[in-house]
Amino acid sequence: MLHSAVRWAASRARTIGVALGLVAATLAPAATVVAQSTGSIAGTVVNEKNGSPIGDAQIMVEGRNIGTTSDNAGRFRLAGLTGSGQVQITVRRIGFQPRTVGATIGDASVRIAMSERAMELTSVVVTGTAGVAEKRAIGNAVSTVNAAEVVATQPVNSFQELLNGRASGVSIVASSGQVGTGSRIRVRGASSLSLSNDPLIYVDGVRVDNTQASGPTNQAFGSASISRWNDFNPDDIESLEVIKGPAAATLYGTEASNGVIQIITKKGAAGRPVWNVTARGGSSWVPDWQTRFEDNYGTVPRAGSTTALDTVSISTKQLNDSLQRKFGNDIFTNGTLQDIQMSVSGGTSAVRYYVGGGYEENQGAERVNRLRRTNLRVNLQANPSPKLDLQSSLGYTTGRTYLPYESGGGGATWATFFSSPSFLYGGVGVSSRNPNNPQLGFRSGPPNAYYEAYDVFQDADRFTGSFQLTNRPTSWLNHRLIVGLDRLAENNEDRTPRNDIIGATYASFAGSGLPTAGSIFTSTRDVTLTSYDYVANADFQLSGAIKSVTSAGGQIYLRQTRFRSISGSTFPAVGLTSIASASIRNVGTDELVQNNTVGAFVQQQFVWNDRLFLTGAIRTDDNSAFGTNFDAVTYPKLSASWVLSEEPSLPIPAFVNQLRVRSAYGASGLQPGAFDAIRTYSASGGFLTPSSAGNPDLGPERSTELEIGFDAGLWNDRVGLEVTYFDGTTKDAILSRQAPPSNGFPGLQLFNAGQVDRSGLEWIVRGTPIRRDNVSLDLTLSGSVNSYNIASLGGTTNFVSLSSNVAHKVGYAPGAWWDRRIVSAEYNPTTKRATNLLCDNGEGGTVACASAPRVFLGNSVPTQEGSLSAGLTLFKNLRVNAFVDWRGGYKKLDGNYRVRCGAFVLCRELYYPDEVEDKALLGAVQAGTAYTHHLIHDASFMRFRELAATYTLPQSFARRLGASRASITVAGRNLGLWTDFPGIEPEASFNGGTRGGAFGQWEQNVLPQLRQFVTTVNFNF
Amino acid sequence: MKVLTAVAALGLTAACSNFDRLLTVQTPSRLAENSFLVPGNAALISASAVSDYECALGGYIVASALGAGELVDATQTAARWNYDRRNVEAVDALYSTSGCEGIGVYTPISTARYTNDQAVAKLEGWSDTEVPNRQRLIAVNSAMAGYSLLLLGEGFCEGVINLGASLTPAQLFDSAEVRFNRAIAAATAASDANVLNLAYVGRARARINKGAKAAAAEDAARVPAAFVYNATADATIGRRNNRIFQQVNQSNNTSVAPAYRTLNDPRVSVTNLNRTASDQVNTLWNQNKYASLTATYPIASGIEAQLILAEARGGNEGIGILNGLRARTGVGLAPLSAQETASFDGAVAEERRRELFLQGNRWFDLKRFNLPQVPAAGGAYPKGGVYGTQRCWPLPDAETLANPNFGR
Repeated sequence: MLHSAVRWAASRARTIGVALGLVAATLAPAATVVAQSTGSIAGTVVNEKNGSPIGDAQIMVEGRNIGTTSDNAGRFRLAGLTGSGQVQITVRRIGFQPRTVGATIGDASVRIAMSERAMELTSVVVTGTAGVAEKRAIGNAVSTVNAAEVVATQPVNSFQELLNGRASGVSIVASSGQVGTGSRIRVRGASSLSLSNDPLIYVDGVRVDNTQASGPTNQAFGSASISRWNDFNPDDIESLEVIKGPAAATLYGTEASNGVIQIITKKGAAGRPVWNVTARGGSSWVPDWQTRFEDNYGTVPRAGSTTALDTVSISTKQLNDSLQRKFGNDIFTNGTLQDIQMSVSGGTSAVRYYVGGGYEENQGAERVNRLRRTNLRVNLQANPSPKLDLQSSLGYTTGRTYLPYESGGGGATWATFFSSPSFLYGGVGVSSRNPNNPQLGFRSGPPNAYYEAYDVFQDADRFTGSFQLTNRPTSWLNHRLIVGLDRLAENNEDRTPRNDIIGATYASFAGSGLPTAGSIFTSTRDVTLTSYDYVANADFQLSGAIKSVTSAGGQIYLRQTRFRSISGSTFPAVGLTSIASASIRNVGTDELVQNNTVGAFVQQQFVWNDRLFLTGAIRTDDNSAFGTNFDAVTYPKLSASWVLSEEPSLPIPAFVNQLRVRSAYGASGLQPGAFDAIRTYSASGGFLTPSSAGNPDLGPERSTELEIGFDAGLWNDRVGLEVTYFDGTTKDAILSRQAPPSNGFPGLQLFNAGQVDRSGLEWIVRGTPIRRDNVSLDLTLSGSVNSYNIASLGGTTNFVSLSSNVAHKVGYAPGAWWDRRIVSAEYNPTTKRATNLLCDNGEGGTVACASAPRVFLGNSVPTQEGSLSAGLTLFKNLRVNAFVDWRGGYKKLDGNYRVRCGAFVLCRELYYPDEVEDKALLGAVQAGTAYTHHLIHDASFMRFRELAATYTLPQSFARRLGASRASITVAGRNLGLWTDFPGIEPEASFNGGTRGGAFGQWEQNVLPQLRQFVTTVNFNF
Repeated sequence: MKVLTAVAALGLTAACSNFDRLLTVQTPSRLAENSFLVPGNAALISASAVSDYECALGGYIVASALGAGELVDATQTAARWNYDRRNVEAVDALYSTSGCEGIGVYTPISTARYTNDQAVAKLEGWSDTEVPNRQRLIAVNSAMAGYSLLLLGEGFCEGVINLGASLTPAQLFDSAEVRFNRAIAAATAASDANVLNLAYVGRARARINKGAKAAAAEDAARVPAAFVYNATADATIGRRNNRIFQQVNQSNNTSVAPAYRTLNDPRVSVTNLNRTASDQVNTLWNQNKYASLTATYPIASGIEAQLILAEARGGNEGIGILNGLRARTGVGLAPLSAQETASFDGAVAEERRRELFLQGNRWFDLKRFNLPQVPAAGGAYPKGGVYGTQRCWPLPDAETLANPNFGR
């Protein structure tokens, strides 16, 4: 398979290479001359940990005024060296410990390996002000993910896989194992009661749309939404920065209280063109699927009897055997991954470029689940004068994702998880023991029927572009303007082609018309987000020790989303699938949603001796969604950062080489939706009907937070430690309540009422316990715990119900599980039914369940997460990485058990009630879907997420291939799982809809996470 | 560079001066209330409110037919089974907050009641000069508000108007009668016989529901037997589909119940598709009463008036009225036999079952006449659980949890 993957990659690489070559040829300045032997020294700078090249390293010859920087391939050349013999070369790079080595003039193959620092306070991060700031200057924690390094060595194929577990305080709530489906990202938990809890996303300083994809609609209940996060190709990303909480995100204004994720894409470095080619090939599957799902039970007529019934069971293996006999295939298959990515970068000190592109084909464990995606990125930087920097960042991705039916829609998982022996024989209620049912025991029909009956996909095109102009007109002033555009077009198609045969064979597929005359539903979502961001910084040296930095700026964000849908049914003949050819056509949605924000801020920072930084800022925002009775909102910010280790008067122990304490207080907000404030009517068929009850007093949620922490570098930066404690409050929390229908308006109505308190602790510890010539081991342990508590729901109530088992209650975490709980039951051995059900009365006693209150069953949002990564480097060219992550402190609803027992009467407990020792459980099971407490379980888990081995080929071998560097990585993903959750998969859940989204995760008919093995080859030229 | 700085500053200044405009957004698919509720839109306001009722009625006919045993659910969607199984619970979302397209009932009926009441209030506040045919519009919307309250009282065990306290079905019928009174006065003033008959049938139904037979008969007798006031339908807008055709014949989500499959009665025309439904339990039977997504369906009719009249008058006169309906052109059935009329109420209920098949009457008739439920309560529901004893739906949590009068 690897051989075919490489051949496939080679053919794709040729195509992409030609395209990139054309672009590069246009952009690239003349290539610099390769190092010669006389009077020069040339070589490469690499990361000691994994041998990957280090660009932008400063290389200086000691005692001589000669220096240069490395290009993106780590290459450098020191020219103009006179004389002969040995010189000392010192290499410096942010994030690495300086390294000085000896080299002989004329040597053209010097290899300098640098060690990463476990703590680096001088590394720069993006802030809301002009330019970048050193970490030491800001009072809040910023989690940074070195994306380029992770992607080079780990089995990471999407943005969410890149972020998962690598930034403390960030939880990735996965949904389905289907290829192309997405996750929810939560930064420091979920603090909004009713609005989105998704963080903001910026790409190279430009705000982009952060909402979930709009379809297709075959995923009823909203299980496996396509994630728009994955539009950003990990191979093009240099680093990620996560800004957490209101204290850090004040300058980002209204919308930022869920945090901000900055995506910094790769840029070119001065030097000759550096080509990078990465090809991946892999396979994925559902682990243990033949034994993982529960057997289902049912009754069938006893042979030879007209009245007696036999209880029989059916297993996944039996189902699969039947499928093999009939169709010659398994229920689930092995998916394949093929991915080729290429880039070229280089330039001069005046103009630098990065051009990257790639093509990916990914096939899932269900035959019709696949995606193909093409991506292109062109980043340019120019410095036409010392006072002017220009930068453009252009990204484009296009692709199609085919999603099979799942969750409430049916599909292979539905057919398998909820199979029934009844479907082997004549069918429910049909007195026949003749195993002639074409469903083969599957519910609705075998997976092949689904694959043949439906054609469901989404096309997505996305362009994200920005242009940045930075000007330094004087020595004390710099300002910059960023203009950005994020343009997204989604087209969702749910096609059911006319298929008379399948409709006549399987009752569930005999939809519209006679039989299965076909249907099509198509919907589009077009998003345009335009942003203008201007900021000016003025630096003044007030005295010898004190510097002042004043920043001011303004932003305009214009977001427009248009939804349209149309459907048709009953095609006159097989082969027709267009809406125009449908006999019945229906106009669905045509909705335009605009949401605009205008904001401005002023920030003042005082710096004392470059080690104490005090910052104050104020930001104001107005938004088109604020109610007519609500004015603009203002957010303050204060922060302090003090580098104690540079304070000469403080007795810092010698092993502490870096120590900083920091604190930040700030506020930010979350704005309501576009129509939440106004009472509106919508048109349908020439008539108007009440649409939104509105609330003219509605304003944004306002979150404030205090964050304190410290960063320490110990034992010569071999150990780094970052610890952050946060404590905050969301006031005017927007509550969504069902508008009382008797008042005329349907749907939900929002109002500012609640208060949510939160606190938490985050940490990250990095260390290199072993660092020797031929072996080094580095470890990173990161994690967080948080606690959320509703302090108020507006005074008039202390309980707001979100659904029959999810609610907000004062004194508890938002969106927790609440339902009646059966605590005891008697058992009648004659009727075989649990009787006299008594429920928890909420006060330590019991009460008849018919009048029992809903009681607290547990949190529905994770309260702790973390990860441990370990990297072992052997002989400088073999790197083994292992990555384990975990999430816990929450409960999830096992909807598969609910459906099997409560709805479809398939679970063993219902057929053998004598066996069930817990009669309270039996009572819940026998009550159908009336109770859910027995379905809600601790979903904490730990996952052996990644294991990868990267071998850097000897340079002599790489050169024979014409490359300057070559490596091969073999990696596995989702290799082990530890959990007490009794359902199929702790990470399976609905991403949205009524059974998921912000609170109350369900698992129901969702494909488990896939196990994957990927081989990656990487060449630098 | 100074030029560049100046341009940037100028641009920002210009942007600042247009902040208000930046914050003004378009809503082309929605209209703010203050733009909609103006005299110039009077005809649209009135027609839109009628459309709300038509949609609510469509959803109610299907939902109540499931509870009443006219239809059976043919899907694997467990949330729909509670209608069919007669065990709708107050927490259920389908019956309480779903729209009429999803066969929700409480919210669409409440919306229709609200918009028709609102239309009347607005129309009464405007002048005849501002609004042509104002009295006729008042009459139509008053009648639709009345019918909305009839459905609320017939379908639910209790109901609420405008965030008020709980009202019994009898109180809801009283409220309906007030609306019909207003409709009758306005229709009389507008000299619109059609709307007048619509209001008379509605008031007769409210009165018979309360047991006020004489008063019901008085109204019913005024309505010609050939009268019919239909809801309109449209194939291209899902909300305006003939919901019965859409749910039974188009989507096959429901099937005609066994008790209606072999009546051999032209008033209950059905077709056996000879196919198993997707639930693997039911055989699909289509109804033939409504032939397409665009087929109109009656809000009120002279036939219903005649049935009310027969019930109110009783005795031989009542039997005569029923036989008159049976003998009419297009039906041509023999008079009821002595055996069939041995129980007059039974005969009325049976004739109503057939005449008003899939018109949204049977659910309350089961309660009003205390008829046996089919299938019987306690029997096994083939898709799990047992049939309940429900004869009306509970007031949903969606109302009681949000309505300050309930404090739940």
